[in-house]
Amino acid sequence: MSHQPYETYLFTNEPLTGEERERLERHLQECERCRALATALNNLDMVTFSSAHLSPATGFSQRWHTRLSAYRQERQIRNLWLMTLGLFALASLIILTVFLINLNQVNWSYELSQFIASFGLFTARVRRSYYFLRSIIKAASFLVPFLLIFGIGTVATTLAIIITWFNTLIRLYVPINQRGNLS
Amino acid sequence: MSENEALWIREAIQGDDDAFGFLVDQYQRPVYSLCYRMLGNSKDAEDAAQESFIRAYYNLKKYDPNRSFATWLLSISSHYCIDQYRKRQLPTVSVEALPAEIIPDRNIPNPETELSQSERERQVQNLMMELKPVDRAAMVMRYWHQCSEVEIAEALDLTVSAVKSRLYRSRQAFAESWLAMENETAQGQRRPYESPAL
Repeated sequence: MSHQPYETYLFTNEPLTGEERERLERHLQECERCRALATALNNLDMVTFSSAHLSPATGFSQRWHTRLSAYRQERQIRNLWLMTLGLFALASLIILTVFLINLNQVNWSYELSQFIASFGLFTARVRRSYYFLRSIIKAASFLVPFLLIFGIGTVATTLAIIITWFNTLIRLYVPINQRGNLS
Repeated sequence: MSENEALWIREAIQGDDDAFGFLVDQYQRPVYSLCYRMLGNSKDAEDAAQESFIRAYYNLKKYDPNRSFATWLLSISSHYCIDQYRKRQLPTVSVEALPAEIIPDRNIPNPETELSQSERERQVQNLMMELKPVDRAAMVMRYWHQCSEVEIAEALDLTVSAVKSRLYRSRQAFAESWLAMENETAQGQRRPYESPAL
């Protein structure tokens, strides 16, 4: 038995005309298979008609707010890392460009000799400062405690600046809820 | 869309999380429901629903107020669920979890009817999981969310004729699977009473 066009009538979502509906009903009385298919579709209609929407577990909205905060922090950290990487990439690009521009203009042996000479000058200056400091200590030994205090103070201030800088970096990159005792 | 919703949307666009929180409260059930029908278990459905709202929040500026907000949200959810399904190739529905989450129709007082309704719903969900993700999304939106073919087409980025054809194929596949399932059940029930000689 041919099931066309009755299967089309069954599966289509278009509304049927009166005549089509009548023909389908007559066919369903005769054809067991099409009747079973129609029953299956009726089951689908019944289930979807009578079932309400499912509910998530209680506190869905609260969990969403928490998730949004976490998502924001992730985005912030990701953006900072991207910015840092971007700046590094830009700096590398500039250095590379300058290097490539000057590549052919550099006399390597001359540059090396200049570097050695500069280094020699630097060590000579350090040595001269050392002799100068020693002569002061010999001439005026009462200045030693003041010089010690000044030296320690300078080192401590430098360390404090470095620690503050690290702390700022940590605050910038580590999310608030993961800082623990840092803050 | 009510006036309150329009106001919440405007405030959420300006960065008010609490205003969007009201929208989450309002639409959590349809969105979660669609995710559950698409993914078949509550854990993935919760995750997908949460992610859908996050995406909606960050794309709120792209929302066209002339369209239904519910359809727009369901569109985001269905796309996310289709992606997740394709990525993970999720297993079919966890049948054990389903009956507890079904909200029975309060108009049906008879417990037996209620049981058979729940059983029927589980069978329907099982058969829905056999459909392709996009077809399933179209069926869920059509049957459980009463979306029109035009709305489904907009939500799933399909033409209206493609939606019609997908719904036709899905209804056909669903009906034939149902028939096969009933035949198997009937055979399984008959076998214990059959004569050993046969």
